[in-house]
Amino acid sequence: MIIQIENLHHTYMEGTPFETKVLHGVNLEVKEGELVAIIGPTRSGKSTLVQYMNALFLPKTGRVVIDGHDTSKKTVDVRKVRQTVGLVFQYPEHQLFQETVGKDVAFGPKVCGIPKEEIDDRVSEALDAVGLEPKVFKNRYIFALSGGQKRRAAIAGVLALQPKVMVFDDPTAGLDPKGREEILGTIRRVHEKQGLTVILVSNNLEDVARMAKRVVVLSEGKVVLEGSPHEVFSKVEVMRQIGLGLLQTVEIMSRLKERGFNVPLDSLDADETARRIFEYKQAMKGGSAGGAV
Amino acid sequence: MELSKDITLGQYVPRDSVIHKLDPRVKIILWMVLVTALFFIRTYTGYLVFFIFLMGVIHLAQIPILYALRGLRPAIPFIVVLFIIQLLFSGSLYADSTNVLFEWSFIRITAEAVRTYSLTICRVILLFFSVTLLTLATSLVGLTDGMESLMSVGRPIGVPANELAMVMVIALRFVPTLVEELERIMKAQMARGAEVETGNFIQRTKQRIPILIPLLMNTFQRAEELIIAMEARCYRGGKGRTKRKTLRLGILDYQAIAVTILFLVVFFSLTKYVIPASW
Repeated sequence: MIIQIENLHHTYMEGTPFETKVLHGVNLEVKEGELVAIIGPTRSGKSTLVQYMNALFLPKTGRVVIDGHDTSKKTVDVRKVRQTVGLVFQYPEHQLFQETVGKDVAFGPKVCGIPKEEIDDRVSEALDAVGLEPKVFKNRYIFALSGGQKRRAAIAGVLALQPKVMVFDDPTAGLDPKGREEILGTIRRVHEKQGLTVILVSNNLEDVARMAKRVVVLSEGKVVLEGSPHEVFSKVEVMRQIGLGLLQTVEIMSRLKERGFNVPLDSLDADETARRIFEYKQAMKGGSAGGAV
Repeated sequence: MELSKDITLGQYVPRDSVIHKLDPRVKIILWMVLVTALFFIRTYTGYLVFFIFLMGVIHLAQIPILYALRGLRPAIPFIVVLFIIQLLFSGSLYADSTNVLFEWSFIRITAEAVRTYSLTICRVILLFFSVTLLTLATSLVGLTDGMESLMSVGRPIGVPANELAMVMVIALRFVPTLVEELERIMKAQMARGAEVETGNFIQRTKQRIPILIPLLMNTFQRAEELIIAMEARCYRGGKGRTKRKTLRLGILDYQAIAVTILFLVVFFSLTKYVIPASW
């Protein structure tokens, strides 16, 4: 268990008139090498939760253990935790501050005291991982990059710390379809090739359906659903009720079902949907499977 | 890490209280009167009474007193440093004092100096407190309308009342926004291993760079967006604009004025005749 969260509570602006409770007893476990997605409507506490994984927040009630480091203990080495878990914030391109891509990616390793020769290797490696050719991009000016490239450069800045876990908070927000594909490709590469544990926080059900092996649904500061994408996305009532809506394909299936066609709901992409509808039709024709009407 | 918790300046706490209902012009003028009065207080007791009065007003505004006090916290280091420096290097001002508490080389701390600077600190704290009080209980729109209306007195001599009010309000409005932004950037850099608040002076200054550069860039971008948004709504300053809600004084406002005047009269007669000047 690389991340272990038990009974976590969080209140923003505690002791002020703006006090709001955002987490009410969250329990969550992440195994090493997993790709977990955390989804939930806005204000469900996702962004707060991920800040606990990186010791930016330290628990007052409950327990957060990251790779053996218990962050609720006073003696915890916060820097170790931050080197174990790399956190990519929403709109990470806003954190870029150096003039060139290479320098900005090198910032993290540099402040962590990595020797100079190794930093160069790490920078190239990280740029490679996000699909920015190191030779071309290392000396390129930040302002000469496109929006999607800036975001990938910022992700490289976190990867260069060589963490064991990467947390992406809404990584595709505000990108065009091409930029989105590139980011998702980067995340998949990081997960599959480098074997990192990935936690993907997102509002985009399509992205999650394609990427995740396990999905955790957060609503009003609590975990309300957990399981494989097939299990979670087919819980039509819950998903609608908490305001996340349905995956397009599940929506199609659930409407078919409402009209009396007894198709399975848990279909995550176009191919799967087409296949299932076809299979259903075949079964109906053969008269062997008993569908309604 | 939560910076916004400590910033009360520029925050508005919406409540349905008597203080919130006052005409903003009255609030601004009374606030200026009180602030001016602060400069005439020369005793600890005076400041204490004044402080209690302000607390009473905060209570009337239904704002938790602890929250209002919290805004002082970030200012404490400055206040302390200010106090110490003044105390250490002002010996020559009280050269003929007989009440020397401590003397070493050029440093000379006298009882008079301690008293003067303690009172100054009290004044600074109360000044800060009264500004917070005004912004905590006055909505931004109220504040602009009030300021504009007060400043338009100077319009015949060319005071751009609306523009000035707008500038002030934008500045105040963006304090919480920038704090939020600052917090976000700090966290993003901390997540990359950046240290904040460690090492010596030079190291600390260097640590500010990864935080300040993005903050500045984002601020410029925000300003530009704001300009576009204002232009898209055809903002041309105050010329020819009418108000949906015209300000008018009500009974409550006259009562507030009366209470404040009464308080000041009683207060200053007390400090003059009853409370000894040395307290």
